[in-house]
Amino acid sequence: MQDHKPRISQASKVNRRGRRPRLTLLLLAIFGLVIFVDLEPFSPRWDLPGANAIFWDLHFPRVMAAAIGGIALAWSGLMMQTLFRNPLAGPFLIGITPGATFGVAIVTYLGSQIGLDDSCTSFALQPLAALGGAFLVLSIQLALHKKLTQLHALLLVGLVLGYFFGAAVDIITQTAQAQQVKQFVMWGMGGFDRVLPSQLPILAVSASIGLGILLLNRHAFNAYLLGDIHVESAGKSIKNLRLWLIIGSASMAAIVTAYCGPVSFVGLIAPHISRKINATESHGPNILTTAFAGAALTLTADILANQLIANSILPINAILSIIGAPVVIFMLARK
Amino acid sequence: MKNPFLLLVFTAILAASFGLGGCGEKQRAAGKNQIVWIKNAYAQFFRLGYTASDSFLELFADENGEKVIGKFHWGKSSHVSGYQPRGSMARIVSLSSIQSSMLAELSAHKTLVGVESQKYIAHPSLSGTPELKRLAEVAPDGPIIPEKLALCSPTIVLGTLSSIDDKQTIERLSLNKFSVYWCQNHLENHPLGRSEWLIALGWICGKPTQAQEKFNRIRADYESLVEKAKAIKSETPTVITNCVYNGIWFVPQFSSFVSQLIRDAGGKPISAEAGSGSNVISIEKAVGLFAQADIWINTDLCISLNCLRSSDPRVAHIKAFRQGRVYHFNKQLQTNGSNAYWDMGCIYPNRILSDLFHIFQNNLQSDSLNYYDICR
Repeated sequence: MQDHKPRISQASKVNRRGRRPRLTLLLLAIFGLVIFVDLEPFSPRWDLPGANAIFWDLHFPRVMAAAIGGIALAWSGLMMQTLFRNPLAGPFLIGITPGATFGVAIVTYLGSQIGLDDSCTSFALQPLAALGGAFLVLSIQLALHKKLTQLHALLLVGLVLGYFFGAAVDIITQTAQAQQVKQFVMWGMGGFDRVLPSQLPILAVSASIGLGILLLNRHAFNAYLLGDIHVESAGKSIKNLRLWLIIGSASMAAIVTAYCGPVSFVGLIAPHISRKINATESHGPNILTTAFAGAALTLTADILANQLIANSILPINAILSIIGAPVVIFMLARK
Repeated sequence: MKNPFLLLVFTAILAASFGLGGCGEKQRAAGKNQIVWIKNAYAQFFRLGYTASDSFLELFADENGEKVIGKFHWGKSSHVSGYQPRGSMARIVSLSSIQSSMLAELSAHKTLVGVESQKYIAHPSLSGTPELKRLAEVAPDGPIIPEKLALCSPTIVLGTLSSIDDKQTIERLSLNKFSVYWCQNHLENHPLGRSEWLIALGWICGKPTQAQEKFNRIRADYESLVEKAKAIKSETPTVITNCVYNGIWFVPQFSSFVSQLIRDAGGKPISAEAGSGSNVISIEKAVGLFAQADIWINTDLCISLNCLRSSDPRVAHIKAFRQGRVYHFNKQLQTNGSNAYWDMGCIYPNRILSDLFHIFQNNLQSDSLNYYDICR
């Protein structure tokens, strides 16, 4: 099969060839450092009986969730940016995040009214509801993708679905009680503390599916970036390729959102950092570095959220946005 | 008088004596009208004062009394500079179930024409009575509905500053039509501070003596319980509050309402930092800190152990959970959502304190608790 790689100039290649391994190593070192720092227990009472169990039940899953969630979101972002050939694409753009939010709003606010007898059910059902909402959007997108041949139409459908579910959430919120609003707001802040050890394999499986799709289709995705004609000349179906991209990116984003809440910016920035390091848009080298960049971002944000202010925790989304916004602006300015 | 110097001295003495005489009168007048401010025992968000002819009430937005949000007077004077008249007591709209219940406690609820929502009022004089059903609901689902408030034609609105939107709505409607009292009693950190608002409302509705007597009884009971708790020599139980929301735990700070109650009842709140708000910590930190807690109270949304386990199974690391010493104030929770803990508990914090005292001493006869129940 012909290898389609988005090309960059020869001079640029030569200039960047020297620093590419160094930058990749630096990223690896950052990843190693943050995972080491984050794994270091910081709770003041680790000397108490049962502290070991607490470490494995609470600390370890949080760090692993941050790492796997970051990788999955980064790959999801990479696939969405490929799907739309748009560097600004992310889970919000195709309606995944608003869909998940809608699902959570339904169980949080309307749980008691639809026959769920205890408010606790909403705690337990939140991840399932988020998953349901996200996959509802995914199903709509999949149903429409055969009819909508134009990419911008698919994008528009995502945006419209986002507005639709956002409006539905607003209406539900209006009738909610203060406690329910609190619960919903907590979910919306995102975070890895809530992930249970039993949920880690689900996150890992979703990331593995994403990795499989990326590895198997990396050459076709490269061709897709160059234009539909390149895909067809490689003997691939455009529709099938888009289907893989939608399924891969949306399922990873949906599962991470379901268990960690909406986590912003990672899917947007990580592929950019990776492309900057590799100096290419080719998927082959970017798969690994995107994953390391995503995990390094979420782990750093997790450390800062937990350690920046003593005896307090900051919203992970706020940290990511504060880190992410200057990075994006810097990168755009340098381009 | 031929000597001009003597003339000058004489004139000066005359002028001075007139001046001093006039000044003396002013001072006497000021003394007569000077407001005597009453020092509150616990409350920080209002102060009451009086002169020979008038009563005064000032309401504050902060606990230091630096930001005044209402100045009212009533009595013989028709106008006092800087103070607005109290307003007629004929038609009151109360936007907080606590104020509504306080009026009911003072038997002044006949003047109520509207409430925030009927379902949150638990006072026995109102809850489930035809009296309550005649009251208009001006904010049944959260925000105030301006038309409903206007239709009540209130003369006085008792509001809280919890929502900026509601504040703007009320102020827009109030222009020259009714007086608005911003009651920040929910921000009082000391339980008796919240209860002391009975006196403020007693003054407003013309029942100051009744209100004072009631508060004195509550205070005496509360303070005697505090002394009783102090006298107990056994080990102080460690106490935790609230529950986990999506991996996050709100822990009340040292001066907060709940921490004060726990300390007064003879318990030791865990991780109570300085301040009157709450700390937001991760479940990991929370479980690390709370693992050895003896008692868990105020479990928020959850009223059963199953619910707590569903919210996050890792709460099983907490000793109080494992030993089943988890309590929530749902004993008087009604099917319509009203809970006497919130309004009657504010009026009678001594009853909450009594519950906590019994829980901490593990003295749980069937009738010993007013608001709390064990989570099963």
